[in-house]
Amino acid sequence: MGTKQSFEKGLEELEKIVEELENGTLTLDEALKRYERGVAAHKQCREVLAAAEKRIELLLRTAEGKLETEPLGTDGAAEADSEASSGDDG
Amino acid sequence: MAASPADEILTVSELTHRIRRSLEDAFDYVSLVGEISNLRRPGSGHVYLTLKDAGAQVAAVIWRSRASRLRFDLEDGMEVIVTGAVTVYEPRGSYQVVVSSIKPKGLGALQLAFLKLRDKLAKEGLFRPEAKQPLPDLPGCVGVVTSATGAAVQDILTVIGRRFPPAHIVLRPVRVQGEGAAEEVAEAIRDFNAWGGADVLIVGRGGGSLEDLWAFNEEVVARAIHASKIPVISAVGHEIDVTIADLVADRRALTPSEAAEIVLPRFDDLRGSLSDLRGRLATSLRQQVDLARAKLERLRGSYAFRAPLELLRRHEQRLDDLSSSGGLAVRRRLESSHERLATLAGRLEALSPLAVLERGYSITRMVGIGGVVRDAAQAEPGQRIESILHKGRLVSTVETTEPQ
Repeated sequence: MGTKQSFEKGLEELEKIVEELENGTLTLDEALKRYERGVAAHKQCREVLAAAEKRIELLLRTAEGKLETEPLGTDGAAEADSEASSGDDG
Repeated sequence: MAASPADEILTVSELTHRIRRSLEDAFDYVSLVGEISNLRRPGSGHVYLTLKDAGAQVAAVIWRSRASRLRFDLEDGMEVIVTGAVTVYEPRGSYQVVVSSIKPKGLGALQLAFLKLRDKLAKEGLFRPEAKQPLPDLPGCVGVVTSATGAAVQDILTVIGRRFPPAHIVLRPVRVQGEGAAEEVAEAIRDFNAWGGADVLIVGRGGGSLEDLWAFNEEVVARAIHASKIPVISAVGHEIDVTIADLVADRRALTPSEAAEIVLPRFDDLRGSLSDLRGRLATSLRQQVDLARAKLERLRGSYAFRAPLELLRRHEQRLDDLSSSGGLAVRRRLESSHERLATLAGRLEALSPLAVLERGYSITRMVGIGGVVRDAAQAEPGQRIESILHKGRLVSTVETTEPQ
């Protein structure tokens, strides 16, 4: 989910709007406007969740020293790069 | 092989050499307990010291290669247990212990090292609560620094897979024990920071002995965690093991599985919360609308109440009320008056002199003077009198009077 910021912000905004509406101190005009904004924020969050995809990757340094990710082997085992030997794990 | 002083003349070197051979044969490895004194660290990197007790002392040396791997600091006055070989340093004609292992007497070397580093970093403020970063509520990408094999990574992947199936996890496999492990862990943390794509890091390993976990007690790892702009969750060993990494981390998980539970919420819970909020949004708006509608009704009602037309109508109605109720009263009063009048009239009627005349009586009056005659003495003979009868009247002259 690369858009986690939009989710968190959307959720925050939605919560705030619900609070405002439940407090009942808005005018009808304002309430309607806030409601619309709330629906949009909710939709935004829903879309982020819907787009979330399972991804498991490794972080490696290329030969040139760049950092990049590469998907884990399909059998779920880590493809250790040539430098790091598999750890002696207790 | 004692040489007789009379038979042989040895050189100093030869004597020393024999002493050396003799000593080295007699003593293999020794284990020694003593107090450090006269500690010296010249530029060569070798460490020279004296081990002593109340009765004697012996010189000792720790060669550079061994000295560099010491896990605790040597200090004069420290009581230590040393293992080493006894040798003779021929140029000086002195014997010494070449130290192969040294550890503090009493507290284990590792424990001592742990305490010292802990105190040092605590003083620098690395463990302060204020220094800890908050974890993101919903990280888009979770970085994991641990061994590629072993239970830790499996636990983390399993727990996250169950709680939050569509998670983005990036793994950086490292050695988690042995020589150089601490440096690998530190480098992995730095690399995640350089890459910048992870929102939170889990750094840890499965359970083990203090030696096994030692990498997570090393200063280089502590500093890497402290310097990390990405929040770090430490997950080292079991609940009873607290490492320096745990103290510096932004959050400590007791196990790798717990780290996986802390790092991400349940996907279903998230969806549920979102639905709830949507529901509350709709409900509260409906309430607002209902409220506004009610207000409107009230206003309309109260306005009508104050409207001039209505006021007028109400006045008119009042008037009607008054007149209808007033008329009734007057009528009633009139009616009773009539009755009284009629009654009075009747009585009057009966008392009327005219009614008396009807019965034959006449009224005598004096002509000229006027006035009704009641007494005979009033009249004189010759007086003209009139008599009013029921019908008509008579005029007469008095002949005689007979007063009573």
